[in-house]
Amino acid sequence: MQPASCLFCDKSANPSKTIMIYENYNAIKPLVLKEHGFFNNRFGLFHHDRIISTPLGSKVKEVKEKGYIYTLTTTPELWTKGISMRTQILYRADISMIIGNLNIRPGSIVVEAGTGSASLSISIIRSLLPHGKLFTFEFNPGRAEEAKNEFIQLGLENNVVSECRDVLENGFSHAGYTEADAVFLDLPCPWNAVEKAKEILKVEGNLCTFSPCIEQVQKTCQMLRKLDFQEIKTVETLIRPYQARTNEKGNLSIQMDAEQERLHTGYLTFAIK
Amino acid sequence: MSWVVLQVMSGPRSLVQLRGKVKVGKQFVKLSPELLYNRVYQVKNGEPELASGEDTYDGPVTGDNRGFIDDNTAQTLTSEEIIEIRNSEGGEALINTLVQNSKTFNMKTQFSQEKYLRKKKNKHLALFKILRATPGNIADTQYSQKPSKSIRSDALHNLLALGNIHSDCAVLVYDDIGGILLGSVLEKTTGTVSVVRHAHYRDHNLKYFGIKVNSERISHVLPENPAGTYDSLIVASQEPLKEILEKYLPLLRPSGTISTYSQDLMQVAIVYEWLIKETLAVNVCLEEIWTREFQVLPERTHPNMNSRQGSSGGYIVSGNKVISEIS
Ligand SMILES: C[S@@+](CC[C@H](N)C(=O)[O-])C[C@H]1O[C@@H](n2cnc3c(N)ncnc32)[C@H](O)[C@@H]1O
Repeated sequence: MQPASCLFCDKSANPSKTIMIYENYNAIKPLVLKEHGFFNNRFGLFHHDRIISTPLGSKVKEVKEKGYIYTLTTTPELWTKGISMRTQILYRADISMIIGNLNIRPGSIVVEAGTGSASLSISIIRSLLPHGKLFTFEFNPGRAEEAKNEFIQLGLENNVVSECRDVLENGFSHAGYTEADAVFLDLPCPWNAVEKAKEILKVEGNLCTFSPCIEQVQKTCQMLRKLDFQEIKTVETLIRPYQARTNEKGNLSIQMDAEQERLHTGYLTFAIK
Repeated sequence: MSWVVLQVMSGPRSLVQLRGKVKVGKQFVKLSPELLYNRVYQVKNGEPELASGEDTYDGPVTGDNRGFIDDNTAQTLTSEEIIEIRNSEGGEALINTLVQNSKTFNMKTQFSQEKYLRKKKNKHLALFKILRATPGNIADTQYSQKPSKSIRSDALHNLLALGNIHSDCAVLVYDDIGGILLGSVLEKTTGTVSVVRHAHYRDHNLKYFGIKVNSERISHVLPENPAGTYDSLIVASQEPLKEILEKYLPLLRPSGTISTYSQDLMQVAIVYEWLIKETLAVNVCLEEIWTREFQVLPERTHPNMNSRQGSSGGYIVSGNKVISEIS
């Protein structure tokens, strides 16, 4: 059973919880709190106890009272920003589209391969709480292990099964579920995995594949048509960041924030069994 | 009875119930709960009939169109004759006759023949399908009819993610898009959801989500409610956003998420600057959501050109609330 409240709603910074430390827009990192612990960053030395004594969302000073950080509740969006990257990862624009179009909701059974750095996994788990479950497969033993440890550290282990497995060879079946509501594939050759994915998808279940190159998308779409998937749809989605500030004349000036812009991530292909 | 999206092939989308008759192109068809989702039907004598597959041509491009003259005289049948044949012999017979009477059909490359046939089929067989009324489908359907009173699904999905919407999260919703945001939040959570019933408040879209307007899961918020109650403040409005946030931000707890959508860049920009200047939030982000759909076929892959909605899905400003007194 799901604990009464998951970490994505934490209001207070309790020992052994994972919170996010905000230094600035481009420096946000997770922190596991320990009584009497401390950590160092460019602003100085910070005591965990000082963080633990204040609600999340507080400004907390370092020991010399000069530099400061903000403490934040862990959310999948912040987690993705602060992640330790073991692979290429998915970012929020694609993640939102995946969760939304796969229609993942409380109670969903979702299957994913490969786990990679679990950037997407954390968002999937949030959406299927409290009783749904994610089955995520990764054939690299080190990455599978790290993902598993992260899920436990975040207190999400009741809602995810993380297994080291080559899905092209061994498919997606698992004793923990009979049919999946949705399957997501982020693999080099998704077209080789969609037939096996179809076997475990429920009728009207949703499939999504992510591929950076259009040639991969073409192969995937051809295979999806052959397998009689419906509603095959490919999209590219991006976020265009802006900045706004009041200029010398007192007018609000809005400008593109080119530095923060990602120009291409990949194509998302959706289909329904 | 639940609602579904009726998609007329290469035509409009609308929300309907699976009973009675609806118009598909120029013909009426009887809908019933037995219809399969996501399958293409054609209309035959007012009844739906599963259409044979879309038989997309999966081969390479062959032939060329050097002899092709596009002078609108390619079709020798008049429009009166066309209607006459469709009424007396049916859609499929009509398409065969159209092909036989087209001077240019045989000069077309294989894929433009297919494109021609698909267009004629959509039109004369009255092809349609029904889709589940998911939050994304509801939003896109309403957006295709009244963009200023809705939100495109890509923006909706980002808004919900940035709002940290999930089962046990305490959400405060400000909905100016007829209940699409409220309905989506209710579908993604399990407890009660608080909504601000402001001057323009409407919730006529809630029925599409299968939610009654007087549902026990919806509660009413006032600015006087106790401060710091909510984990998430989520807004979709074309009204001055800053005024909305000034009123309701105090109800959000520290480190709660702010996630607001508008089609007016100026409104989100004002909020962006204000949140940063007053240090009301960190991780403040102002962005446009950009999405493009592709046709993917061998040697014919390109962005879709029939999307009249353009590539912009509107603007979102988001952030995480902080308290600035120092500890
Ligand atoms: C780009 S990463 C996935 C990133 C992930 N979506 C995220 O957001 O963090 C792709 C992963 O798939 C794994 N992979 C590739 N082929 C696989 C296979 N046949 N079975 C299982 N995992 C596989 C790789 O080891 C790699 O870690």
